[in-house]
Amino acid sequence: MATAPGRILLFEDDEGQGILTKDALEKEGFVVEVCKTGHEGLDKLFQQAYQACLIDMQLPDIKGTDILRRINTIRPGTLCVIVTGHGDEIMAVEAMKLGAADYVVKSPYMGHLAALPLVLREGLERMDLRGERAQLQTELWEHARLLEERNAELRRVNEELKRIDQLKSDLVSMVSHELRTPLATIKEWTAILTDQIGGPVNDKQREYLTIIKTNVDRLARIIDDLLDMAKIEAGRVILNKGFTDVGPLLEHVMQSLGPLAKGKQVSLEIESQEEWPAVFADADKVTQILLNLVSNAIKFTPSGGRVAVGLEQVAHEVQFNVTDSGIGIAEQDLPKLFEKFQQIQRAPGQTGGHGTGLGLAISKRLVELHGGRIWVISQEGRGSTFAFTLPKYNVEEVFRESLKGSLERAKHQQSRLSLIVVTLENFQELKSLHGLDETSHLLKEIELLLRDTVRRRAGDIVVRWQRGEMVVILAEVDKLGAQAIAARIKEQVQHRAFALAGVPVTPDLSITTATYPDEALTDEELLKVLERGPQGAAAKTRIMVIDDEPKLRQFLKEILELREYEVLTAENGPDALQQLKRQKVHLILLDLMMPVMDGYEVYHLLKENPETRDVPVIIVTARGERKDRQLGIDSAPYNYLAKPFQTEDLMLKVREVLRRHAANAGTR
Amino acid sequence: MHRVLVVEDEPELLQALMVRLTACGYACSAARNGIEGLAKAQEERPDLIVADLLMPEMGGAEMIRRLAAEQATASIPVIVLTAVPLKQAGHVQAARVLPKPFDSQALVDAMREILNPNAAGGPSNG
Repeated sequence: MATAPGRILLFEDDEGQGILTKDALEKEGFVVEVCKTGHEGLDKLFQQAYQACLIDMQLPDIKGTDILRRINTIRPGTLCVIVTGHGDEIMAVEAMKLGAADYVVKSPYMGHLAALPLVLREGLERMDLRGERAQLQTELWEHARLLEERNAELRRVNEELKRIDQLKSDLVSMVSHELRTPLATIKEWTAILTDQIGGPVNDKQREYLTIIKTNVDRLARIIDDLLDMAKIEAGRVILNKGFTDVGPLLEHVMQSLGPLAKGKQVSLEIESQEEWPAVFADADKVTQILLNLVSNAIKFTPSGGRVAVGLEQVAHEVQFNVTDSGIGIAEQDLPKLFEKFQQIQRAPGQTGGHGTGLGLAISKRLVELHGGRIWVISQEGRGSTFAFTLPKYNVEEVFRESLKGSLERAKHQQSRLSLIVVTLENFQELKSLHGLDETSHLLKEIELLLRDTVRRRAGDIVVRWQRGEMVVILAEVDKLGAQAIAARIKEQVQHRAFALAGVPVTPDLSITTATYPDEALTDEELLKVLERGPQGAAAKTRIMVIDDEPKLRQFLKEILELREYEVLTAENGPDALQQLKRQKVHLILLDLMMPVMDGYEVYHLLKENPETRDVPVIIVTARGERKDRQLGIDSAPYNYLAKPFQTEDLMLKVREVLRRHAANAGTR
Repeated sequence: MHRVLVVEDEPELLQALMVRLTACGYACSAARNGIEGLAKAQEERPDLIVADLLMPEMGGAEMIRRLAAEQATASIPVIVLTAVPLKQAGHVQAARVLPKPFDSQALVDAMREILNPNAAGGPSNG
């Protein structure tokens, strides 16, 4: 054990006391050496280490405090316990300051001798612990140092990888430059000959020159494709996604490839559409994909054949179909069609020039970069259809996309990003009074105010989005900044006169913010601010859904729970009333047409019962049923929701009714 | 007759361009890098410059910047012929950028359009 008694050096000038002390300690298993003067003791310490020193502070030659100082220099870490006479406690304190572990006051009858072994043992034990701790500390430091080294190593490797990456991209662009320059020279001299600038050329020679030109062009295309492929594989292709109208895109393809088709006597058609859809994509890249697929189709279709480009709209995607009446593809060739350098021999003696073997592989990667799919259906001798999908354009997607991008950048630059959501709470009310256009205009005004305020805080606005009754802005401001902006907006709105069509209105705003990385780390987490609704109060709100139709009941329950409302359901009136006896709710969604007890009856029962009288009710009816409200439901129009409704309509209605109810309750 | 300065470091391509443009009725002079090009442009005040981008001594981009900085040469239009990707060449202040290998016809058409803006596409009457 660490506390095994050890060698003790005793500084004691009084011989009798020395012997007694030595005896007392040796009885307890310590080994004790006695020295009568300070010098003698220090000499011993020079020669060897002791586990502890027991020092009488009143030595003839050296002051006790000086002995402590010397021990600290000669043998740091030695346990020192001092022995003082009565009344010398001040000296004891002095000694403790110099690192003495403890002190013992001499008693005239040597009673302190009994305490000494205990004091020493305890001191040694403490020192062992301290030693262990010191060792742990050292290990910890060592560990930290290793980690730091490892970090430095990683940084070095990272730098090296970056350098190699740069080297590779330099190499690729160098190679492309070095290849294109001689190609340009060959092409130009060939053209000079063909154009007979160097003298007359006969028909045979002209034919040969055409072969040179065709191959120069092919080589140039291969270089382009190789560069494209290298860029895609290095992850260096950055899509410039945006609102992309499909109509002009197809027109461009038609213009570019019309002559090729005509030259081969292949009819090229674009199936017309009543309304061209828009995709969320990089227009240049989509053009590249289409040019590739359509030129392939023309290439593999014999003259007299037909190539058609058609569109289908499926859910959130637009599907492009490039169909040809060409030679088709053998079944065994289909799986490897989209791989690199797969030149499928489609038919013996096929004409129309060669591809680069990369066109389809590039198209596939480009489609996939957009989050789409590409595939082919083909039958040998009957023709092929190459199809690919691209996501349809929608504002939310654009917003999410740029939100993701901004987060990546913020992560990289270690900067802050805040999502600020301003909700016009009385949007519905204003809309029903002044119309959608006017109300949207008001929202626009609020958006401008918000943008101005953000800019005044020197925050760059990354993206903005007007979403129903909300204005959403992503700005480069930190949490405090976002909160300050929210406060400033509220203040400004209060002091500003708003009017719709000349009628003064008071916009009722609620503002929520979420900041990266303080409150949210991912785009999904940030966007929760939108779902939580105003003030995040929804969490505590309980809603009862009364509907006999199980599917609709389940649907309502799910979408309300998604918004963090608590939801109770009842399939008919009696069931609902039964449950309401046990549990209070804040809002009731009531279907009018129900068996057992119809909605009117349930409504009246709810209003007669003092427990439920004040609970607001939203009446869900099929369109056209609203006339029936003369049947005694004296409810304001905003308490109706007509089926079929959009999820967002329902959420707006729920929030609106809850808000109004809260406001009324406040004034009562 | 329009005077055209061709700046290109690849001698055989430079020669080809001279042959082609002379045949098209232009009075041509040649330079083999940006420094030469700059000197000739200041001395000869050509109507148009056809220039490469990557050249020793001084590249096309720097030459164009310096041309633009001098009042005497600022208004000379430049057609850039380059083997570097168009996106990288995009920031150069040029009247036109043609990727190498270029199409002679496209080059000649571009020159005519710039030199005879009123008779675009018509034959040069140099």
